[in-house]
Order: sequence, then C-alpha cells, then structure tokens
Amino acid sequence: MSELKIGTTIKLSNGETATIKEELGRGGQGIVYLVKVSGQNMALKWYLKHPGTVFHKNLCNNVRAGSPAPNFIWPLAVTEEVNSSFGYVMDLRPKGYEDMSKFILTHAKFADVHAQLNACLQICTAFQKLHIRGLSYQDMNDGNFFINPKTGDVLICDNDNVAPDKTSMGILGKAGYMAPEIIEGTTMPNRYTDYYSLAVCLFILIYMNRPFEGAWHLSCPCDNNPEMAKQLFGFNSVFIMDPTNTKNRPVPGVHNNVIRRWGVFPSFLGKAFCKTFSSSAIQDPTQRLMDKQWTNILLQIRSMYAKCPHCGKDTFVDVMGQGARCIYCQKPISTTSLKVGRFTIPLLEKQPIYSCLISDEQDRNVKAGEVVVKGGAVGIKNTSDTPWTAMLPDGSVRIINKGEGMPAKVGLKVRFGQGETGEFI
Amino acid sequence: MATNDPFALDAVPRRVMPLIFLVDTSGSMDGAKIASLNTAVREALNDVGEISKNNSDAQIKVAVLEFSSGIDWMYPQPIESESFQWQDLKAGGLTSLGAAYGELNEKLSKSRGFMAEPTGSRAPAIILITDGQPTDDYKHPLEKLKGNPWFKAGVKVAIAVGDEDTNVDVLAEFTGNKEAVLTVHNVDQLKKIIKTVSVTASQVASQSASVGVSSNGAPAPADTQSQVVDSVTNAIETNEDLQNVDQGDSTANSGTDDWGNW
Repeated sequence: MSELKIGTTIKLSNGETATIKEELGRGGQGIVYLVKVSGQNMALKWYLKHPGTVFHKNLCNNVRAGSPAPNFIWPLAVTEEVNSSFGYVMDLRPKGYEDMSKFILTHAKFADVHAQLNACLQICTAFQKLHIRGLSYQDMNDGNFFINPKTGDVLICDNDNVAPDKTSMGILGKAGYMAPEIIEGTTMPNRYTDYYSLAVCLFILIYMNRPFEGAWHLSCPCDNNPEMAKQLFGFNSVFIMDPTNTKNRPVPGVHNNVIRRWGVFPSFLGKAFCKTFSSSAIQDPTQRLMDKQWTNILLQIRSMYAKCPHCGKDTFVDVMGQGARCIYCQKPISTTSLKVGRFTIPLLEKQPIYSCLISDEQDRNVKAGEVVVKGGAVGIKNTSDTPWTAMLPDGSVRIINKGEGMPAKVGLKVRFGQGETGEFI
Repeated sequence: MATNDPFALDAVPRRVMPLIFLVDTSGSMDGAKIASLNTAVREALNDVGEISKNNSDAQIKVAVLEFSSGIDWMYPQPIESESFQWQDLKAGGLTSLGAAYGELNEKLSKSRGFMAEPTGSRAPAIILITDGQPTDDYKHPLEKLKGNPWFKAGVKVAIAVGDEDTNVDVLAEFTGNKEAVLTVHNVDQLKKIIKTVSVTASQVASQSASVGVSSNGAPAPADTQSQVVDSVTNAIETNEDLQNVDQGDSTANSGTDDWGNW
C-alpha cells in the first residue's frame, strides 16, 4: 500500500519538493492530495499501484512537452518513486468550476446559450491543439471536464492518459462515451476515437440527453453488462436522431430535453450530429467530424444567436436553413446577411461580428464590429483597429476606419483588412 | 407565452440500480450482531446516498428483505438511497433462506417486480448477510434464481457473520464465487465490511460498463461481479480494519469469533 502520510515531503522532477497537506479525494487509480510546492498550493495525484514503466515514461514525456492549451490541467512535474509508486503535480481546480456530470444531473446549469456554446468551443479548440501534436486523450467522458456555468470556461483534467495515437496507456473507458471500435476491441485509442467521444460530450452539453440512449436502449436490460454494452454502444449502435433508423428515438417523458431542443438549434447542427453518428461513421471512423469542423459549426451557430426583431428575445436566426423563425414567438425573421468565407452572419441590430470569422484571430471572443440599424437601414460598424475596405458595384472603394460604418446593401462587398472578403446577401 | 420554454431542462435520465440487502433476522442474530448490523447499514446508506446523488450514470434505490421464520420487505418498493429511512431490524425465529431466494427471484422482474423503472434498470447489487445455515429448502429456489437474467448480471456478495454455523460453500452457491463470501468474526469487522461492501458494490454496479484494455493488454474486467470482488480483495489486503476478515476458503482467522453477548 503506497499511501503518503500527511507532512511527507517528496522530490519532484523539476527540482522542487512537494509537502503533503491533506487528502482531497480518492478513486480507483489513486489519491489526490493538496500539496505545497514553493509555498503554493497545488494538487498531487498519487498512484496506489505503480502503473508501469511505459506509463511513467509517457507521463514524463508529457511533462516535458508542456500543456497543449491553457484548458488542460496538465501534469507539471513527476515525483520521485516512494513506496514503489509515484505521482504527479498539477494546478488545483479554481473555484467556480463544476464537474460536467453535475450539468447532466442539472445540479449545475449554464447561465445562458453563450456560456453553453463557449464551453463547447473551448473543448473543441483544446482537443484540436492536443490532436495537432499527434496525441489523443483516450478516455474522454463527463468526469474529465470542469466547466464554469457562468462563462462556459472549460478545464480538462485527468491528462495522465494522454498518449501518442494508437498507444494505450491501459485506461478503461466509459461505455456511452467510448468509440464503437474501442467497445468492440478492434483498435487502440486514437484521434478518431477521440472525435467520437468529443461528439458525445458536445451532444450532451447542447441537447442534454445522451446520443445513444433512446427507446431501444431503454428496452435493453442491464446496459452495464459488457455484452449488452457492446450491443448498445458498439458497431450496431443507433443514434437516437438517425434520419432513417428510428428504433432508438427519444422517448417522450424520459428524453425530454432533446425532444424540446432538436428543432430549436439550427438544423445544420443536427445534420452534423447525424453525420458523425451515422451508421457509416460508426463503422468508418474517418467519416467523423473533426474538432476543427465542430469549431466552425459552433462559431456559425454563435453568430446566428441574435435578438428577435419582433419579440426581443434571444433566438437562433437560421439564415442557412429554410425560413428562419423565432424560437419563441415563431414569427418569420427575414434579414440581410453577411456572407464571409464559410460563415453567414444575420445582420440584426447589435449582432457582433467576431474577428475570428473574418481574420485569423485566435481569441474567439474578440469582436471586430457590430451591426447597426439607423432609420430602418442596416449597416455594419468597424470597432477594430484594422481598416475595412468597402467595394462598390461600380468598382470604387471606400476605407472604413474604426468607429465608421457602411450600409449592408446587396451588391456591396467588404474586405476585412488583410483577411476575408464578405458580401451581403 | 413562456409555457413552452425551448430551453426548459430536465435532469438527464439515469438508469436505476437496486441495492438489495438480504438480511438474516433469525434468532441467532439477536443481540450484538443485529444491533451492529442496524448501525452499520444505516451508516453505509449515507455513503450510498452520496454516491447516488453524484452519479450521472445511474441512481441507486435500496430494498431490504429480512428472512427468519418468514420473509418481509422493509418497504414494498425500492426507495431512493438519498431518502431511505432504515428501520431497525429485530431478530427471532428460523433461517428461511430458500423463501428469501424465491421472493428475490419474483422481484427481479420487469413485469412483476422492481425492474420496471421508466428510465430503465441496471442489474442489482445484492448483499446477503447471515450467521447460519438455511433451515428450509434453499437449493430449489436458488436454482430458479440463478436462471434470472437480472440476478446473473448483478453483483452478489455474502457476508458470513461468524464461522461457527455459516457455510462458505452454501453462500458461494449464491454469489457464484467463493471470493465474494466474506467471513467476519466480531462486530467491528461486521460494521466495517458492511460499509466496504455496500459502498464498493454501489459504486461499481451503478457505473456504466468499462470498456477497453488494461495496461498489460488484458481485456476490461469481465463483469461488475469480478470488479467488486477485486476491489473488496484489495480493501481487505490494504485496510488494517479489515485484515482479520476471511475471504472465500480462508480460515486464517477461524475460531476467533467474538460476538460479546453470550
């Protein structure tokens, strides 16, 4: 047994030492202690049983490489071996963050749709950065995310299993989150299995039901029996909103949230889930949407979340679908849109134009402009330091500096600095 | 107009995992045994309630079947562990284990029993606590019970209270393996093992299935039963308070029974 006694001081790979203050929690794998490192409170995860030299080496590699994105509560230093085991040090979870499972239990709720979309965006961005390094997270589930319900800021924990694609750190995943090919045991974790788990988490955070738990799931007893889990979550699994196979549809009275929300979010979001959870993408992982694609979809949705000109409530204005209607008052909303690159932004008063849609800005919350309405005429105003160039149909141009605006008229084009060129439609 | 709030939110449905205690309340359990059992289960249920409250996968409901000369459910239906009110059991009478098995088999059914939850059920965790040998025909009802799919998929642990009258082999017929039979020799051990087993069985059986491979390439634990056994074995090996509990065929602490009330 390799527990650490309170007061023990242990050496770290970065030359510092950690002193055990108290136990914060324990799980199957190990214990998390509050420790002091150079006068600072930090967390130490200690393995009750040595997880093996391969695991140890991988952890050291991850420490050396550093965190791929600020969202990861990344291992910062590995401890020396004591009592034939070891651990690693990481930052403590700051206040104000809740376990994703608390959201599932509705013990925590997003303050608004902005926070909800922000959480999804941050998860996608973080995993994109992890995947670019050739790493995969391996066992993504609702226990790995801490989310701030007010802002949607996300922290990702349990990063000790992060490893290069197709190597297994021997972690057992959770049925319902793990990719079908892991359930069926035909592959080792890789970024495609992560894409599946990512889509599961996004689906839950958005629609607040589980993507593979509908009528068929309910009719099968013992879903935690490994054989049954294989049926329900393996190659034969059926997405609850599959356009053709209806056997696993949500059940009214049980799966209420997705029934309410499916038609509320823009239809292309639903289509993206249908694609990534289609029977062909269940069989063929390369057909799944990647984190970057999810990011673009979420950015598009965020830009469509605007104030209804009729009732004043925040609604989705699905200008890419057919006949946008307010989700509250149901009145049709017709509006000019700005089409820029892959994005279409409905031009409703005060709607922000985010920099990341028109340039290579990495901070997704930076705004470059906003929609203004004057005397019934719609325009866009530059609020950034980068001048825009309005291009008129006759070929003449006009520079739009910070604080200036231009009319949003069909036929006009606008070039956003060195970035994209948009047109009004 | 806000009657149809599109963002109205219900908790995501969770399956229900029944935690079922089969408690021997025969005459020999009278005194310190039943008293410490009452205390221990009541305390353990606090922890189980916490597990249930924070588990996004499943909710845990509790049912208690006592058997002596007859059988009796503490409540007719399983009750949410968070709000379960334990009623102190009294001991007296015979050991109708066979009748208990028969009744359990009836209730482990979707059409007539406990497993008809609208949000779906999960295989139960069943903890049998007894200090003696059955006084009725238990073989026949047990055969039937063993054919019940909920029982087969469930977690079964037996706690033998003392080694004077209990028979590990008889209890292993119920659990399916000897390692899931734990013999305790005094009230301290009884209390601690009840807590350990209740918490472990609740944790494991309420969770979604684990899939994948372990670091040495071995497949995922075959079923919840073996996960619970592994976890309890580990607890006995590492927890000083449980060190004199005998697991399976172990007789290391045989003859150390001390129930302090003769």
